[in-house]
Amino acid sequence: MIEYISKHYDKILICLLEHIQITVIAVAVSFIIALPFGILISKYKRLSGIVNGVCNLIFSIPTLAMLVILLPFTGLGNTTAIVTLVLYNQYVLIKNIAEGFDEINPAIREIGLGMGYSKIQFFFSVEWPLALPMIINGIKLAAIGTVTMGTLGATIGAGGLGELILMGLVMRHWNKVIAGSALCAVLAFLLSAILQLWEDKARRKTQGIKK
Amino acid sequence: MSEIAIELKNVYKRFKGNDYDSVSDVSLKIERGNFVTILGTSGSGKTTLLKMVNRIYELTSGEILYFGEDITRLPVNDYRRQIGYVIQQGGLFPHKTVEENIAVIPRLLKWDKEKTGRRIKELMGLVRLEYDTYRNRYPRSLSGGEQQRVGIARALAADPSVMLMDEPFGAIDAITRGVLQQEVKNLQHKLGNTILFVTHDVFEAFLLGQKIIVMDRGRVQQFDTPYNIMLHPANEFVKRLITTGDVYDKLRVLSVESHLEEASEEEIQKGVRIDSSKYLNDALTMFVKEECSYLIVAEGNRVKGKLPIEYLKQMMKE
Repeated sequence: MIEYISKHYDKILICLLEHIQITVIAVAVSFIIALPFGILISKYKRLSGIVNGVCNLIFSIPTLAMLVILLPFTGLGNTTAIVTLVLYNQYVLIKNIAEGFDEINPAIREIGLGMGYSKIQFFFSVEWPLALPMIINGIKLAAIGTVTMGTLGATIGAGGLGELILMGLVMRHWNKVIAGSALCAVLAFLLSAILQLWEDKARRKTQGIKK
Repeated sequence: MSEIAIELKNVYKRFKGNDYDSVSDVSLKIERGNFVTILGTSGSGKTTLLKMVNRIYELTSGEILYFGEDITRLPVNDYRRQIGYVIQQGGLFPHKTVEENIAVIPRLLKWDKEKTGRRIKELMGLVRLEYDTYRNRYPRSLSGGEQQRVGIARALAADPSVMLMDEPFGAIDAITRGVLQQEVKNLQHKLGNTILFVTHDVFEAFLLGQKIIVMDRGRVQQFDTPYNIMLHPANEFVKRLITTGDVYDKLRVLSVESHLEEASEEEIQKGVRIDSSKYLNDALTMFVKEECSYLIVAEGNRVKGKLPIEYLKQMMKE
């Protein structure tokens, strides 16, 4: 396998970079969409039923089926893959974002209100930093899911490490399959480790523990 | 009569979905500079009443005036920044240091750094937290008592004319509570803020309050000085509330000045003296030790009157 990697490192590198690109874009877009929903359902509990219901429904659709459903709209290529990943990520992201805000002690909200914080000031000064560890935790879960699920994008020509795996399977070229899978695992592990460090740092901050 | 800091006019509060009023037809005036305790059991409406003053709860009907102005007409956040607020457990922001917690209101008021810094130092001195030791600590590393000191300093930051305190010492051990009670009393004396202090502890209410609002089932049962409430309870409820405590507790909160009679020259010459800042329990100890029938109450050299032993006997019989 090492031999295979050193021989085809240029091709592998392209796949890896494509994979990273898909992951970063998908997670970023997912987060931008999930954030307002997460905040909304933590403020207005009545909405949480509908939002969670929709997320559950999306989450329960098999990935390959989802890709097929979206194909007529977004065509072959990585757009379809990214849209699929974004849809799946909503479940874990919205849940974590809402939970982050829900976990804040009601006494903290009351005192903040009583001291005369405006809603926006209170959000940035108190709520955001306190909810941040849970939010990062959501990003971490979404990122790991995106890296692994992203391999399926290759079936519709989205590129990435999935292409190595898929091609390897078709050609019975096992080194290719193993290289693709291993890199995928390493990527997921690295992302998870980096985000975990960030999460821990944010959590220490909310608990008032210095580095 | 001095200036009225807070006035409630026929205030009602009914929470959504309830078929009873949590606060019912409350009208009262709080004079500026007064330390007023609100005493009641849980569900009496005492906390609801307090939280209507800083608009955490909006009243259902009636009116609350802050120095004569209807509070619903004042911009809510500006108004709240003028009112100190302390709750049980302190409610400190866990991700902010002691210094940052105290700086919250100065920052909201956009004070400059230097002024804020000076004020923080001053406040930490007032609540007796050593500046260099505590400024960079986080709430988590503080004891309950220390957290509450920070809570009080934070509430005092912008020198509020009115302070609202919602059972601030409820979760603190008895010894620390005693110390903090005394310090809050001294602070209020020194700074002259108007304080509204909610408690379910009869002893605390009598110890701290210059006046006490006794509440039950959303209504004010009596609003008077500790002395008058103790000696002339307005109704059965108040009577029961104050007689549940130990007699000795009662003596501890009533000043030796509660009952003074005129003393003759001879009595002043011969009588044993007691300082006017003492309480009746101190007087009792002296009566026992000195085996006398009266004490001369004096502030320094100034004689205020005599306190006969019969008065204490009568108190203890009730």
